[in-house]
Amino acid sequence: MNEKPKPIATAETLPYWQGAHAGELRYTWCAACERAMFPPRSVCTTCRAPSQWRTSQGRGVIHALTRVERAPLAAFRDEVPYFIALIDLGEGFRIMANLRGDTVFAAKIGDQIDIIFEPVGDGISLPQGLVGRGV
Amino acid sequence: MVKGAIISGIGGTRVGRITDSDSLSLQRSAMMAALDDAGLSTHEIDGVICAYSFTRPHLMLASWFSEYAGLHPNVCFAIQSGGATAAIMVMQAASLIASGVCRHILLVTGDNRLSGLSRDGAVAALSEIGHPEFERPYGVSVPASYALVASRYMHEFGVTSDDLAGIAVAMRRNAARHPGAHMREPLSIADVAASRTIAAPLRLLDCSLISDGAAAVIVSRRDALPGRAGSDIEILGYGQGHTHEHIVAAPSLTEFGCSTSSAIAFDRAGVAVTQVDIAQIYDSFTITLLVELESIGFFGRGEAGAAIAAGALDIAGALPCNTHGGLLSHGHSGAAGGMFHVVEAVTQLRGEAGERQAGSPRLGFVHGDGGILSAHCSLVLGRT
Repeated sequence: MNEKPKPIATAETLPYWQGAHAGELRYTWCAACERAMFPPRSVCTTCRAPSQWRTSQGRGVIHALTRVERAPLAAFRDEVPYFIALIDLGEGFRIMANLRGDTVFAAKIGDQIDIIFEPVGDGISLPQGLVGRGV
Repeated sequence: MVKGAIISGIGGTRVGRITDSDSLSLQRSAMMAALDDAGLSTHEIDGVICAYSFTRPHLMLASWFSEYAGLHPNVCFAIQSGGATAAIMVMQAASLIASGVCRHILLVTGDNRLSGLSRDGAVAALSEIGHPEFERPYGVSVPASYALVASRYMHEFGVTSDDLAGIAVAMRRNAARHPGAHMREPLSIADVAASRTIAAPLRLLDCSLISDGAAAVIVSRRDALPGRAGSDIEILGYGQGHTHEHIVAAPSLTEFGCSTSSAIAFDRAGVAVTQVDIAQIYDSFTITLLVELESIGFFGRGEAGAAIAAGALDIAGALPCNTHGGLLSHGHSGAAGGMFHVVEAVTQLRGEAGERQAGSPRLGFVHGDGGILSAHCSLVLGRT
């Protein structure tokens, strides 16, 4: 309970986590439907064709956000308050991430985000959202 | 219309901190109350549907409960759909009655998640509903996920924090009239605003309680209960809607499966939303109830807050809703939290709610939602 939950990749999601550790935000794409899917899947949820891996530009917009002041696990208690956002990436998929940056307390829906990557050990890096992106 | 499935018995324990309680013994208490209410004995129960328990997680809870309670049913299984579980149990039972498989089905739910787990333990257990790879590493909790919905819904429809607080106040006002409710002291908008933030914009008093308690319902074939006096409560319609489990994968943060589930249930019952006399709707958070009331069509988008502040959900209001105080104030003991919505609907339709009786309702609506507005089940109940 004192460790933060760390993602354990499946065969299907491994390229996502390999990408994140290499500083890339990858997502799955159905060429037939021309549509991104997240969480990643090897098969399109609409047409069932095999999907492809693509790399995002890592730029997005805050769709929803919250400031957490009551941590669900002891491992997150030292970090409160922390921010969780749903971020819409330019390629048409949505991820969850924590927000980082000096102006995080002023973050709001519609703000622009750059995805950054934070190593958390064991060869895993988490994509996170950096606020205050320069124009 | 589903013909012939009636709710013949209801039972519940008080809700709150029940020391020395146990998940199974609480459920047995609720079962005995429901059997007494229906005038049935254990050997007449030929179907048992259970839910789940945090304090007694088990692969075959329905079999264990049946063994423990001395039941030997012909149909026996458990359902796990979070907060939609109780309503889904009723829907499943109605189907088993309509298809002629069973005559009397016991639906039993209960947990001692307050006394049997620490508050931290309950919060941690609930957080496991988050996606292990794409949500939980970010410290997500159930309140944080609902807070994400709240942030977006407030952004799009101009809902305010005071609108949400008004829901907590209304639920408390209703709970004050229920002798078995967990929290009955009056609450003000200022009290909600002053309660500590859990995940902004949600504060402590925007969140449902963690309670011990159990509730049971018996669904029967009408013709299996000859010579009954008084009116029976019939299951007129039901429907489900499922769009996602994890909030990161939700197709929308403002449109959810409750629109679909309620439309199917109303259609099956042959009634319109405007005909509903009383509603018992899942209120795991204030935002949950607001989104569901507006999505199902009881209020226009962005309009529920003002109506609720003016008393719309009170027993004398336009739509008496959660007349027992809901999960926010009557209490939340896991799947039993949703089953108490069913129990209260039946109590109101029978006219047996005492000082909290909301007139003489004929048509009741019950709604449960599980996950993060993920799994929805709606029921239409009627006094015949």
